[in-house]
Amino acid sequence: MLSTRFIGWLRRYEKWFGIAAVILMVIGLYTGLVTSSADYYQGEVVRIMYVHVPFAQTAMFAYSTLFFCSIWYLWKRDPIVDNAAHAAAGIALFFTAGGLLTGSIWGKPTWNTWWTWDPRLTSFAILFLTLVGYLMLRTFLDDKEKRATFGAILAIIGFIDLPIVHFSVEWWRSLHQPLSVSTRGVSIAADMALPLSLMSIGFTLLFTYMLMVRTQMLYLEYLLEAKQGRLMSEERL
Amino acid sequence: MAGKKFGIIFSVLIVVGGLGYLAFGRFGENLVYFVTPSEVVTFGSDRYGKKIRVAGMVVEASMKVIPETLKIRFDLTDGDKTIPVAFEGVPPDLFKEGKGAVVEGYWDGDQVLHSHMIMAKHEEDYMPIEMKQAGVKLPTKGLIKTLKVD
Amino acid sequence: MRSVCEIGLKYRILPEGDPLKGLYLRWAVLLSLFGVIGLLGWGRYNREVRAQEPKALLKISSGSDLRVIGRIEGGSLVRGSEGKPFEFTLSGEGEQVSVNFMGEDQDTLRELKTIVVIGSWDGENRHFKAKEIALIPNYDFITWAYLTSLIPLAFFIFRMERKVALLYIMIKEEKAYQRENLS
Repeated sequence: MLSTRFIGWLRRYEKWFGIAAVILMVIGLYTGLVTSSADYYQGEVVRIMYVHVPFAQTAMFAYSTLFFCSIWYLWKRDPIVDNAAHAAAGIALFFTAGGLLTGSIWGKPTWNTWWTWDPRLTSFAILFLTLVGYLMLRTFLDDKEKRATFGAILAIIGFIDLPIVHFSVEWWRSLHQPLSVSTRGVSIAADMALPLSLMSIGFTLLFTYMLMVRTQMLYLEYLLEAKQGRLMSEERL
Repeated sequence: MAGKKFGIIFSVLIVVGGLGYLAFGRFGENLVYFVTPSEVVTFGSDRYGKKIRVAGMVVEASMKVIPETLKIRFDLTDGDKTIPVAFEGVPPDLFKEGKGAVVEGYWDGDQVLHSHMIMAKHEEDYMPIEMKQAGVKLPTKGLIKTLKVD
Repeated sequence: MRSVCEIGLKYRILPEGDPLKGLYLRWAVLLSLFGVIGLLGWGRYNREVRAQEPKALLKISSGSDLRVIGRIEGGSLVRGSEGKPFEFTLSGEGEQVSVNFMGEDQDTLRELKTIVVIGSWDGENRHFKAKEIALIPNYDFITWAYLTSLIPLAFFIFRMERKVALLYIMIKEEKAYQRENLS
C-alpha cells in the first residue's frame, strides 16, 4: 500500500509546484516579451531563447529523471517507480519535440536554415528517437514486468546521449553556438538572464508538477486495468 | 504476434541504431560538420567541384557587392589561412564582416569557393545594444576557437 | 484486497465536490493570465517594434519618430564619412524613398539588406531622415515559436489533468466494478 500513500502525497503537494511554476513563468514571460531588451546582434528574435532554452533543458532534465527512475526500478522493482519512469518519458518526448521545433524556428532567422545536421542538432534528434523507441517498446510488450525491465534497460543505455547533447557544442565543430553558461562564466547580460532563469526554473517546477500528475494518471490507469482484468476473469469462471 | 515481435525489434533498433551511431560511428570525428580554410587550401584536384561546408570568420572590409547583381565576394579566414568566396544569392540577415559564417559550396581550380548558401554562425554572448556600444565584453569561447583548427 | 475507494478514503486522495469544475475554472484563470501577457507583448510590439512600408509612408505628408522597413537598393548606398551622412534608397512594395542617415558606420548598413530606419519624414521632398537604424525584427518567428510551443504545452497538461480528474471520479463512484461504464 506504499504506492497509495505515495499517490496521496503527490496529490497533496502537486499544487504547490504548479502554482510556483505559473508564478515564475508569468513573470518570466512578462520580462521576456515586454520589458527585456533586444540583442545587439540578433535583435528582437533573441526572445525565442526564453522559450527554446527552457524546453531543451526540461527535455534533458526529464530524460535524467527517466534514467534515475529506471535504475531505481531495476533495484527496488517497485511498480510505482516504473509509472514515474513512464511518465517522465512521455513528458521528455513532448519537451524534446518542443525543443526541436522552437530551435528550428529560431534557426531560420538567425542561421538562415530550419535544420542542419550539426552535432548538437543530430544528438538532440537521437534523444528524440530514443524516447520514441522507449515508448514504442513499452506498447509492444504485454507483460508488465518485462515492459518495465526492458524499458528501464533501454532508458539507461540511452542516457549516454545526454552528455553528448550538452557538450557537443564544445567538443566538436558545430553551427550551434557554444554554451552560454560554462566554466568561462555567464555570457548573458543581466537584462536577458532574468527572463531566461525565471523561465528555466519555472519550467523545471512545471516538469515536477507534470511528473506528479502523470505518474498518478498512469498509476490510476494501471489500477483500473487491474480491476477490469480481474472482473473479466471472474466473469469467465 | 509477428507484428508485435517486429515492433519490439524495430523500437530497440531505433534506440540502439541511434546510439550506435554516436558510440561506434565515432560521431565526433566522422561527422565533420565543416572544414576550415586551412584544410581547403590543401585540397587536391580530386576534391574540386564537390559540395563542401566551410566555416570561418568573414574578413573585415573584404566584402564587395557587385552592383546590379546578387553577387558578393568576400574573404573567409580561420585565423591561419584565408580563402576568397564568390557568393550569389541573398545572404542571411546576420551575415556580417568580422562575424562567423558557414559557407556551403564547392572549391574549384580557380582557388575560389563558389557558393549559393551561407549560414550565419553567431557567438554565445547576448546583451542589449547599449551595453555593446558601451564596450562591455562578456566571456565567449571566441569564434576562431570554435572552428577547431588543428 | 480492499477496494480502491477504501484506500483512497484512508489516504484522502479522493476529490471532494466536482473536480472537473475546479479544473475548468483553474484553466480559465490561467488562460486569461497568459492572455494578458500576450496582449502586453502585442502592445510593446506596436509601440516599439512595428514598422511601416515605404508605401504607407508616401500617404502621409510629414512625421517624426516613424519606423519604416525596407530593403536597401543594390548600388544605391553611398557611405558617409566625416560629417557627411550615409545615403541610400529604401524600397518595399514597389515604392522607393531616399534616406539619409547621420551616424556611425554599422554592419547593418549594407546593400540588398532589409532594415528598419527610425526618423522623420518629409513628404514634399520624398525624403526620410533617419536618426537610428535597426535590424529586421522577425517578429513573426517569435510569435510562431511561442504559439507552437506554449499552446501544445497547455493542451498536454490540460488533458493530463482532466484524465486524472476523470479517473478519480471513476474510482470514487467505484465505476471500476461496472465494466459497461468504462470507455
